[in-house]
Amino acid sequence: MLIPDTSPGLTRCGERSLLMFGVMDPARCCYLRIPLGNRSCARSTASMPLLRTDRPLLDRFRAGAPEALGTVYWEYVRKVERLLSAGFEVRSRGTRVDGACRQPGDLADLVQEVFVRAFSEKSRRAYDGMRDYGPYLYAIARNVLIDWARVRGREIPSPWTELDAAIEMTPVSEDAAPWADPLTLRVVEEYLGALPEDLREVHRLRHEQGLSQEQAAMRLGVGRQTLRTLERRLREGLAAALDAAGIGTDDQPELARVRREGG
Amino acid sequence: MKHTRTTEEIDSLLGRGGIGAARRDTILESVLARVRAEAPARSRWRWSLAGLGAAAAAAAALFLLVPRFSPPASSPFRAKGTVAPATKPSAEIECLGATLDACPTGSLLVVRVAGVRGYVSAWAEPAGGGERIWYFSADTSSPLVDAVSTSPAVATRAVKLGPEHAAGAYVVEVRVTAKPIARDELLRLPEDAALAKGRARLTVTLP
Repeated sequence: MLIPDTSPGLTRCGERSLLMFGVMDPARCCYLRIPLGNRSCARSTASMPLLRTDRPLLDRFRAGAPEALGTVYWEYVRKVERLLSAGFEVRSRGTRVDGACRQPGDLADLVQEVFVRAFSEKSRRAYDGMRDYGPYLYAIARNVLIDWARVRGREIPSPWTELDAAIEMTPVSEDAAPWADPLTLRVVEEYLGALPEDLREVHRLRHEQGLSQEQAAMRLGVGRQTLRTLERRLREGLAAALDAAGIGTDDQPELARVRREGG
Repeated sequence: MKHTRTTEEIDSLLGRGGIGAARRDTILESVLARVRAEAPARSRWRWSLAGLGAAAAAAAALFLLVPRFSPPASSPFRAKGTVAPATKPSAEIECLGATLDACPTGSLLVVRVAGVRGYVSAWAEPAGGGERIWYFSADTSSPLVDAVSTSPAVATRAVKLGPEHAAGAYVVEVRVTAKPIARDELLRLPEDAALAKGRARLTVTLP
């Protein structure tokens, strides 16, 4: 279920618009406000066929060159994160695997585990370079998520082999940080809306586009140390805005829950 | 109890959800460290308690894990007919890009746990006295690591050595417990109450 959350509505969303995705089951998590940034509403979210079209990069990737691994990582990390957060569903079987959106600590561990597996020598060499790397990586991510669900005692009512082979997967929920209650989100949006130009650019590149520090620093024409300083100012500013609004972490029961559960 | 927002939480808000930019940086560094560790074994430095002499132990960072339960023989997702090799509980810490004997501020300190599943707590005590520095605890975040069912059965978490670390020697303490534990309780925790515990000597230097 897609819920228009902005005044322009879904037919007139612009660069500064937000989309909110809701899910049918309120007991499940979550929602995510997705800033469209400079992407058009109609733009496909499909990845570039990074490794398939760049043979030298593929060779370096297979050899485990850190710079090639970093390139691949930054290309896919947010998509993997989204998959792990949202979970997936095998529609033909009605099988659903919950995502980790309510366990941000686990989510980070899962993202790490996906790339550890994907970047292992065995997996790097197993990728044939003929097909897009994305689906290969997402299959690893689904397997990691299934393992995680199993560890947490959630039964996956489908044989492993069938689930592993299933290709009709679809996200079933979207993520939201458990401490991102509506009031906090409003303060965040107001803070971001009033950012000076330099911090706005840092936010756009690092938090909306998901660039690495190196990539973002290059775009901004600054050194990494300067970028780190700007990032610190960005964080400190938000923390101050939350404090000024009287929003303490103790006022956020979801955050307390996650901390209790070790997220 | 008054909590302080972590960098990760602020980052997640800035990213309107998800794990945040700084954490993505950290994950990549950890993954690359794992890839390096997977490469030729001779390039790795890995310590285990057995065989280390007292002199080496004094100079090196060493984590001793004391498991109180056995990892399951196999994950439910292993292929039929295969038996998972038992993973010997162990732990390492690593200062990415440097050594524990000279780990510059700003570096990532990786806690690596194997063969055990539980919640990680960690803190550093300045060897010369001073304020204790907390990395993980139930007061902020006590990550659940599952180094039993993962493959390879190793889990890592990293912390950045921030400016709160003055140059000098520290003793880093790590506990793996069945539930997240608050700071006060950790300091009173009996030796045998943790699923695993470790201690390492860390020398922080200026960058």
